[in-house]
Amino acid sequence: MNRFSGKIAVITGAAGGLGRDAAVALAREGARKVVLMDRDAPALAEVAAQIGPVAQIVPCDVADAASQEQAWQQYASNGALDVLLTAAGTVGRGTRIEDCSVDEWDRIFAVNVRGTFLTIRHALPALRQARGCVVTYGSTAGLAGSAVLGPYSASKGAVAMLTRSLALAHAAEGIRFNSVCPGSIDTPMLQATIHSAGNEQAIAARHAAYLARHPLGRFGQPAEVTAAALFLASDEASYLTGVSLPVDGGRLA
Amino acid sequence: MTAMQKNAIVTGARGGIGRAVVNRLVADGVRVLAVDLDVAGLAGPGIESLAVDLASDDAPERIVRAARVLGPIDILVNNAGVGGSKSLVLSDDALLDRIIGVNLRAVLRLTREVIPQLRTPGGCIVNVASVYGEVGFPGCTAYAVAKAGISQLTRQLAADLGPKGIRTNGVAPGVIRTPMTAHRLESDPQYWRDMVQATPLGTIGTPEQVASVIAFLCSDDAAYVLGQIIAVDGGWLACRSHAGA
Repeated sequence: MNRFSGKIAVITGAAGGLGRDAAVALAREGARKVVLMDRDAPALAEVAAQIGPVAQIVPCDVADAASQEQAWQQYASNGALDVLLTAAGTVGRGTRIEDCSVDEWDRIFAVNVRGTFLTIRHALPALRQARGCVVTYGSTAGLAGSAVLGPYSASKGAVAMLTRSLALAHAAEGIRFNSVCPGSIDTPMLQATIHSAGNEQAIAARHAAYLARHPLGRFGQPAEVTAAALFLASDEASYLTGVSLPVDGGRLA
Repeated sequence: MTAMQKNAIVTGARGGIGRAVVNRLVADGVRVLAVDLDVAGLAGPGIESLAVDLASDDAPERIVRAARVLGPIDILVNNAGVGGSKSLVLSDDALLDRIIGVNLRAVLRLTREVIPQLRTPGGCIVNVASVYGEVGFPGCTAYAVAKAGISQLTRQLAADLGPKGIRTNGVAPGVIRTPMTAHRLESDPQYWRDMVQATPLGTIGTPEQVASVIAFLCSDDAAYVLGQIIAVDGGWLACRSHAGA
């Protein structure tokens, strides 16, 4: 498919697993420029090398207002923006709310909520020019509560409502906002969450318990999240805005 | 692109959304059994058709028999539905029976018959629900109740069939221009205010915009999407109580 032929896309968190996967897929589907934002510049260079000449590296710490300012100044010469994917996010240390320090709480919200807010606020003028669209990266933990990832869950809940409010505020300008909500995806983040259960027995129990909650009986792959995100970003979803789409193997259903 | 020939059953195939779904699936290389009360004009390459009243007792059996010529079924799109609903006190037994009968009972009966014929694993079911099945809306009790049943059926099937590798999802169209809504769009100013003006994107959806979402749900791109009802409504459901505010 060539759904993004001639389009310009920005991906935050482009050095992370999901962001990187989406950036590569957008390039494969014909995007004429794929702007990679992340605070890990060396890792961005690797992703850019994988993508080739359509990649542009823009170092950006999404949580930092000054860094965002600089990043979008660097973006400016690209002009109109067709597709924005806000994949930057952190699960933090996976602490429960009771055990969460103020610093940890602030860090999770700075990346997941302030980062998404700042990215979109900076991108809006360019999105307006293209009547572009935005896919935020929420989480099933942002749609249902989580005992083990409470602070993360709260932050992703904020992302869901940020997305819906933006969908309403900018629909008249033709800018669509939707959210892809990964469930248990087979990434280092999921493995870390499972391994934080404690000893080997507890880890095995948590692994089995997580799997049992998924009617499809398996964890998802990053490519399956990307496929859903790119659908939301494509013209195939032209009458969708304000949608939170779980990609979770039926967990929430 | 598709290595394996896929086969689909689409009900309500002659209606606005149904016709668009048939066209889209055929364009994607899927062979379709197109089912409707009247199938005049539905013929074409890649399309088998069957005229049947879904509410009749033998409809599921006849549909499955007709589908045998295609081979194992990969996709069932439960699209057929009737409108004409009213508020409860204005709904007589005949109206309740007709709307619940076609929009809910017939879907349960057909799906029950098709499940054993679905490719396992790999088959998928897409139900056409409605935004009216998700929130309260005046003047359409039986329709809304039936469509809420379709949404819940989607989740039940996800739970029951997911472990076998059969995915069930749904779409909830908002205001879409079809033969079913055309008259109301022109003649009912309240409907226009509540639906079109309250749709954030400010446009009436097209059947093709619904069909493309159904095609996504049928595709491998949705391989990890299960038990979801995707609103295809220009933002109506996500924002309905605040539109214009």
